[in-house]
Amino acid sequence: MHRTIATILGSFLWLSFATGQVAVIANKSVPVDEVTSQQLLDFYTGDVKLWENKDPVIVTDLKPEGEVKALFYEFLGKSPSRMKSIWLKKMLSGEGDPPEALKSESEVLQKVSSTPGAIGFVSEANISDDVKVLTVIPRKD
Amino acid sequence: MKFRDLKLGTKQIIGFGCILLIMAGVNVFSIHKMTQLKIEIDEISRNWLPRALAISDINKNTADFRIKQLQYAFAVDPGEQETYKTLMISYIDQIEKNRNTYEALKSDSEARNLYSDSERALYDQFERQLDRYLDLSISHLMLSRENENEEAVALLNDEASDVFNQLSATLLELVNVNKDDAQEAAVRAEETHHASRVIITSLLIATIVLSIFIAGMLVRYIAEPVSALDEAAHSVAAGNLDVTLPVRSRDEIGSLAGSFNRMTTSLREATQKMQQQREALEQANSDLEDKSQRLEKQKTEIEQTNLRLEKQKIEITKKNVELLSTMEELRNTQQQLLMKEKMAALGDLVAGIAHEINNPIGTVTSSTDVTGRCLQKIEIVLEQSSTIEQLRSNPQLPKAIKIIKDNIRVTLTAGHRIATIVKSLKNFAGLDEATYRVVDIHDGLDSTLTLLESEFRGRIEIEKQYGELPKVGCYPSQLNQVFMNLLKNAVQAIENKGVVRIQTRRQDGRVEIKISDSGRGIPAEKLSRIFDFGFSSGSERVKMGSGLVTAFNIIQKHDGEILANSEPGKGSTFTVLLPVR
Repeated sequence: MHRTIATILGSFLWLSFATGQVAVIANKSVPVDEVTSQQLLDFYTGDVKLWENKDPVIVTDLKPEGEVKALFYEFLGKSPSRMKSIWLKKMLSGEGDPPEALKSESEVLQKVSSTPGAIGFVSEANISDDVKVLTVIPRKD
Repeated sequence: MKFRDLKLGTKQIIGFGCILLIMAGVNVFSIHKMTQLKIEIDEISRNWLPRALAISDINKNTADFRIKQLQYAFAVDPGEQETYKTLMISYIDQIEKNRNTYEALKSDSEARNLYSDSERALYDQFERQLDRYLDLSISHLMLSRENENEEAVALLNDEASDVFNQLSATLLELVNVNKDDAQEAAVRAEETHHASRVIITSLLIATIVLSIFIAGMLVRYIAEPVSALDEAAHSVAAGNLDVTLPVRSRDEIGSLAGSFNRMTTSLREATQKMQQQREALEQANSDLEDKSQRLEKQKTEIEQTNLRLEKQKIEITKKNVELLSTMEELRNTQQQLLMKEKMAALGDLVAGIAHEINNPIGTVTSSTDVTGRCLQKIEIVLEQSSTIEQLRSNPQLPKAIKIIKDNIRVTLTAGHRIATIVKSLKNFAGLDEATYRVVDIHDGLDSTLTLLESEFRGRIEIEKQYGELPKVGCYPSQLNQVFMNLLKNAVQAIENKGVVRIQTRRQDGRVEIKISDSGRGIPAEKLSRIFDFGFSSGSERVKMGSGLVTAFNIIQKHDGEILANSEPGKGSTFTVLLPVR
């Protein structure tokens, strides 16, 4: 409860003072409340495919290039092309498919809120109560 | 403090220190430049070349990947497809590996600021193109998995082909940029090398020049003053003392030069003093020589004078002989003069006596005449008187008798007078008499006064102040002459009326006779020579005018003294002192 309030308050603060930050969001069903960059990378590379409760991890990507995507990939520690190399390799080896690249943040929100075990990233300004915020990536500047 | 004023050691330390510092500087600079050069060469060897290599590999890997992709697309056999898939994975791995290699080099170069912006832009472009190509590859795989083979091949041949070509071009360009940068770095290294060579060479030349300059300074401030000092010392040793060293610094050499100058100054002064003393000595020497010459001359002169004197002595001896004879003559003359004076005195005396005798004789004659006439009258009275009464009553008789009586008295007086004169004359008559007798001086004085009476009668008053005198042994006639002369001088000194005072007294066993007059006196300059023989105030002719010489001689003969005092205008006093014998 406290954490939620703090998060909300923090969100407002970010809204009012530092807009344009990226929030890592997840479907409310996911059994975690926060996530590290390494855990995120494991989810996005497909190395970790299941949540602790054995639900499948469903990652989403954002198709349009922009500040939000760049910030998220930076947080992951991989450039988009690197990620694609990994995904391509996974596809070629049959280990899995790359995440779905959605066309907009609202689609991401829609998808994450509606799909159990789903995870994605949007601009913090666009988050809704339908999703769980696992972490907020601060802007570097 | 100026450089020239530093100590020699300090100068050398500074000089060599400067040289060492410059050399150390050159070394440090060289090392620095070498390091720079090494870095630049490293850049080439460690960055550009490996990066170019990595890019080339990536290019090759992507090409291989695309070939395998195309082969996969056209493969029919599923086993064949799997092989291609595996190969594609391996190429992707190689691409990733080479990208890692490149990016590691990139971050290293960026850290060292050796990564160009154009290369970064190209690499970013490459990443985007690769991303796009991978995207297309994923799409292709999706299509082929869904058996949309035609579409899949179309994708590979059309869009993917374009992207791949662009990607290859970018990679090629990257290689070129890298090559250019490497070239640039090489050029820079070459430039650095060249510049370093130029600078190091210049520095070396500068070091040499500076070293020469410093050595020159040292020579100027150490060696030159020392050699100047050496020269000056030689010069002084050779006797030239007019050497002054310039004191240009305050170091040991400067102080040495100062000391040297003081030394030469002292030497110069000492030499000058010696010179002066030598000159003074020479002067004294020459003076001495002069003097000795003069002495020689004087000696000669003295000898000549001696000779002359000798001659003169002979002459004088001759003259002395002449003088003796002359003196003999003179004595004769003097005696003749004395005789003459005596004769003159006698003449005066005779004239005086004649006069003296003439007077009483005249008196006698006239009184006798008057007596005769009185007797005639008496006779007449006697004739005229008849009676005694008549005779007695005749007044002429007593008158005549009285006259006769008076005449008798006068005649008697005259007779006495004559007798006195004759007596005096008798006193004087012993003039030539050299009889020594004991006499009363007063008798002599009185006789003389009697004989001279005619000279001062009525004009000159005689004041006699005779004291108690013992009888004196003498030659009376000679003493009388002395009195005569002195009294006559006294009378003659008085022009009109006056007083002659004669004082006698006994004085310490001697008899003093003082004859003073109130005459005109004798001037002081004549008084001292009044008793000299032959002295005369007006004439060269030797004469006995005053008779004082005679008086002097006579008194001397009597072992007495005769003194003269005189005050011009008031009178003279002659004092005769005679011993009592």
